[in-house]
Amino acid sequence: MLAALALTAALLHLVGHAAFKTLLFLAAGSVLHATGTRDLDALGGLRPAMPLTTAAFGLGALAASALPPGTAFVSEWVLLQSLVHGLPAPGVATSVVLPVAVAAVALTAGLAVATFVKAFGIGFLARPRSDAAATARESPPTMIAGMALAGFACVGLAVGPTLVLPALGRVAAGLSRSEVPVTGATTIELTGIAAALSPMGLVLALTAAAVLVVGLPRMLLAHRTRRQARLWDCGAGPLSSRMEYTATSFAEPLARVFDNVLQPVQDVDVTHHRESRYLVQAVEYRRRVPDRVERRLYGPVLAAAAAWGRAGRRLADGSVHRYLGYGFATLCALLVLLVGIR
Amino acid sequence: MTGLGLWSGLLQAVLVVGGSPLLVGLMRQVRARLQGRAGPGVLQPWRHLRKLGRREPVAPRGTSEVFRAAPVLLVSTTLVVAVVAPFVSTSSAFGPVADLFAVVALLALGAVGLALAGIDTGTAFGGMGASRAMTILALVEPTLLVAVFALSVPVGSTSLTAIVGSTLHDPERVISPGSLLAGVALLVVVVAETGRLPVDNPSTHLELTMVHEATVLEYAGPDLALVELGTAMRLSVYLGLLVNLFVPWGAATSPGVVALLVGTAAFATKVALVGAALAVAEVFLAKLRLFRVPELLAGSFLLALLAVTAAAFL
Amino acid sequence: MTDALRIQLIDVAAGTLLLTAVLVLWRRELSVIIRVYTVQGVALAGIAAVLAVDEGSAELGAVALGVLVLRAGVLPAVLRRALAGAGPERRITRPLVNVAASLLAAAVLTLLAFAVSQPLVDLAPSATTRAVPIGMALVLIGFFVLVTRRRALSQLIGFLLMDNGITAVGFLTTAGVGLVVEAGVALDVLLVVLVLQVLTSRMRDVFGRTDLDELRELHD
Repeated sequence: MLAALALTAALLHLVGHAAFKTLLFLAAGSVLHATGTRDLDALGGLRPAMPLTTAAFGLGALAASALPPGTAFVSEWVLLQSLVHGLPAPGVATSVVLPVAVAAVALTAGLAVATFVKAFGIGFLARPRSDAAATARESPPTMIAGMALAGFACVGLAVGPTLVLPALGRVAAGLSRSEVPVTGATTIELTGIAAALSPMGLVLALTAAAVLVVGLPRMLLAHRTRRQARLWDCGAGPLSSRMEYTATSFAEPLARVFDNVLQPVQDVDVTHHRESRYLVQAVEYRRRVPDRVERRLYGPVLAAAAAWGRAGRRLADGSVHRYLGYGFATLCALLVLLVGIR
Repeated sequence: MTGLGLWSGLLQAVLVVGGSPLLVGLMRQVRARLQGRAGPGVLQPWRHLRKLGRREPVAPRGTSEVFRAAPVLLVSTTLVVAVVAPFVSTSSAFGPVADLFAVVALLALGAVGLALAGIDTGTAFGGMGASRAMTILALVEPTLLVAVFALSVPVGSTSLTAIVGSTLHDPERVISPGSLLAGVALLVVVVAETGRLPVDNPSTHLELTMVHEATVLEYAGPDLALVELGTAMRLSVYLGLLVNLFVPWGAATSPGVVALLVGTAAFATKVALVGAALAVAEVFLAKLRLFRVPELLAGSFLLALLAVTAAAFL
Repeated sequence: MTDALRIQLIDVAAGTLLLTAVLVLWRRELSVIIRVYTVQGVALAGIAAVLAVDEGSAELGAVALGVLVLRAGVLPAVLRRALAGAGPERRITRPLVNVAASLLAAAVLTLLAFAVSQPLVDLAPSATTRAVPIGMALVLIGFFVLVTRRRALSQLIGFLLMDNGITAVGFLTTAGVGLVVEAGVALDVLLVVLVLQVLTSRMRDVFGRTDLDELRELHD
């Protein structure tokens, strides 16, 4: 039963991914088209020039970061329900693995939120960090149309996941030979588990609350027009884009927390004045986060594959006699093997 | 959806919106008295909000609608939680939203909105505050969900109404080791999420120590009033959840004017007591260095994990 | 004593044991760690006392008293003396593994202890045996402290945590191993602590500090 539920969550996650990852990639492509760079540290301030792409990326980020009302939130909720209710199952292994799994899901969700706040906030909000970002123009309608299509899928899945959930539940039930784990027309109800979630209700409640929060002060207070004002610059003259937080600086505290895992390489070079050791001419700071998975896991695997390939190439040197010889040797070896096992 | 749930939802909305600034005022007053000051009085936050509300709205140059929408998002997510959570009674105005996971994610959504607004200003302060706030949010999440897990194991549901109702019927469970450990872990989470000492100092204006204050530095006038109201509501909603998950006594179980009034009074008293206790504890605490915060959160995560283990094995 | 009260007391004492072990990992100041260790000694004596009252055994009562005197009185006093000799600047430990990581390690160790001792508990499920995993976790956490701490004094505390854990498991599984054995173990522990204290002060005289990695020099 819970296995079917977890499988349903995975399937819903898959469908959600199909929607929001498409949207995010299309939006990222639109940004690349407009600015010619993929470096987050060089972007920023795209919102006035590219409102539609900004909206599309914001929608995708909301859907991906497992916050309500988003697609990934619903699948995360179903997954968590299946994990939480798996504990009464007998066995020491489940009671050790399940809490750890919940913690891992939660940490992933938390880091996803931080990631997408970084990607959306640094990439699209604030002021441009380079000329390319400052001169960006909105992408052509054909690109917008693609994003709109994926965006509608995202909204549909966020508001009405119940449209696809029962079907996915039936698939999962068929595979794991149990009852259909998920039912409900607008509210997600789980079979055998006292838990329910209404994504549509959530959206409606949030909208109602927002209308109330915007409307009530307008009725009570005299409405005045907004005045444009300077940003607080500590009285030190206009702020430049060099003073903004970049993607690297945004992620620095988290990177420092996971220092042991990421193992960043950094060095600081201080150049002194020739006249005096006490005067500093320039300070150069370099920081690089090498991808440990790539170096430790993919690297050796790729090297091994390449070594095999080199060895294989030595076998094939173009001589026809040699190729015929391989066939003959194999035939003989097979015959010897046959004799051996008889 | 029941009559009891609807009435208590309405009461809770009024209570949380009206009472949150008073809670903040109470906590400041307690601190002031313990520090030997007279204090401005419990009503001061409301006076402050009234003053801010009358001012002209200001839009810092270069900010987008994200900056203007964030306060609204903060207050409305908190308001939804305040309405659906079983505070005054054991019933919810809208059950399918009153799930612990959903409530927790809704509150996180408000925080994310503020962080985006901080980045949107384009100042170093805003980016710094957003970066720190998101770091803490990401690290709090495991503790939070594992503690929720521990609470839901004996009940068999993550629905808030189910947890509150079953605690009410089975009071002995509260002093079980699993529940106590989960309580301590959740307390640390609440302190971290509401930006109180020792994780963040709500009264600081020094950039080295600011987390929440840095993100909202550019707000002024009615927007700032909304942010302050939202922050206060967040505090009382989190304290309310903490209180009602562990000591739900007094909450109304049947519709009726007397029961609802008793429930309201009980809830307000409990939250005020916990808030005052928190304020007393804060007098004796200093803010932690930002890079010591992960240690605190790792400790609370350990407690939450032990709570699940205790619930599973004991 | 009613059954419910007994279970409640055992649970509280076992919880205190675990919490104090975690606090030893968490805090850096050695004086605080020694105070935490004292509290743990009291909790351990509490378990013995509850069992003594429950079984009406005077022998067990004497053991409880002995545990209280030794682990909450004598040993902390010896440790404090060793600390006082260390000078003001040496009162903070700097572990090999950072605090957040060691707390997570403690979480894993506790889960391991619960998983490993589950068959043991299943042999005779009762309120006392269900607390056995906590004793086991104490042993593992003590070992972890022994491995990851730099200073001789904090390693000593790791050793004492392990010993507390072993004693707790002994009480919880067999309701005490007899006065003579217990007294022998206690004397042994006291002797070890005294010897290590002397070693620590000699190390300080020779090397100027008590970082155990300094002992590598003896090898060269």
